Amino acid sequence: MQCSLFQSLLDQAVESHADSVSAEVRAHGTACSNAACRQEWADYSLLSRAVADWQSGLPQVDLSDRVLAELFPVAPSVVSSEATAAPALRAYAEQSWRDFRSPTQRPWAIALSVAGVILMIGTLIVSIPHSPTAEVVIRPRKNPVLAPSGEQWASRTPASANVAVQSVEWAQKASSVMAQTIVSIPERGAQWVPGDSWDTDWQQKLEPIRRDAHAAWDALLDELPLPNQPAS
Amino acid sequence: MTGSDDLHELARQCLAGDAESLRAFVGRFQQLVFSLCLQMMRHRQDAEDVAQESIVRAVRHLATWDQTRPIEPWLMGIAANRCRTALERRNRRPVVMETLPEPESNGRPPSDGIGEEVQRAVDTLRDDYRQCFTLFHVQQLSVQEISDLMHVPTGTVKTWLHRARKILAEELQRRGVTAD
Repeated sequence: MQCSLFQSLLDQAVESHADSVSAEVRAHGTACSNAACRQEWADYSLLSRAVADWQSGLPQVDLSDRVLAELFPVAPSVVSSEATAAPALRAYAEQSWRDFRSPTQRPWAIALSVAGVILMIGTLIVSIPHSPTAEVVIRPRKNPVLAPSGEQWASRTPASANVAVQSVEWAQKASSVMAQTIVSIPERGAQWVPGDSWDTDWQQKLEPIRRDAHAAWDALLDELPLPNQPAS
Repeated sequence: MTGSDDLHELARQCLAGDAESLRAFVGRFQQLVFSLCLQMMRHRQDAEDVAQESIVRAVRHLATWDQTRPIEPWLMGIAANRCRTALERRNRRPVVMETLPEPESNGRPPSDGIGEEVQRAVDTLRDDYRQCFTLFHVQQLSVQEISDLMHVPTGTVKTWLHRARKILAEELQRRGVTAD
């Protein structure tokens, strides 16, 4: 075998990931009078053994959990079996999300939004009785010293007084609708409520708020004069 | 069913979001990816982080893998790119990194196994030689696949591989490692 052929076959063996070389190549590598061929063969033999040793000793790693956790940070149902540790919580979260997206749950969301808008409009309108002009009319009811004269009240049109009262009544109704809507949310979404008494509990918890809101609006209404009747 | 069919089915199930298939996919390729990352990053923790990042990226872009071709070069390409990005980021970081051990002094007989001596010798290689050598001997990629992955001609890959092997052989001999 010529040295050039030996060199070529050795290169081919390396480049093709061959596990071994032919007996002729081996014989030439060990017996050739050319020092370069012997050196090539020595290098090949050394690396064949050393690289195999190196490959088997490379550090091992297990990235499964880390990769899956990164791929599914918010979907524990597909991460791993360990993630089933809290099935009730997961089921509740998933059901809540489905309910939120469900068309059957949209009405309460819409109702809540409408109530909010009504409340905001009502509040804006209610600001009329709190304007400087209106306060001249209202304050004297509590402080007779500052009571306006009949002419002053008469100067106010009955229409503006009616608007003020109606605005407060509107706002009161809006607050009632809103409170009722909040209370009714669990009723409509009863399928995703975890406990049987959840809605009752919430109604009880919200009752003081609703009562306070009504009392506040009633107090405000008491402060306003009746339509077509001067404050005195 | 062939191994290729198995892999295609595994990829299909991964794309469908099946957790067990994803776990199997990670288990099948994590070592290859990690080995390349370790050789390029030369730091275990960094290599784990980049390997994780690479596999996540691969899974997310699994639909772009050309299934008529082997998946390994595609995966290694992602990992190599991630490593390069991480290396650039690390080089900009003004902290001293705890890298793999530096090569031992000349003429010392190997104190550990041959594998450790090879690792130390591999660490002395310049980056492109080391990547080429690792892709070839650890990932078992072909010269053509490395050429595609590293965007260099096959002749360059052969040259790099030959030179890397030559340097390693000399380094090992210098450290007293023999073929016996």
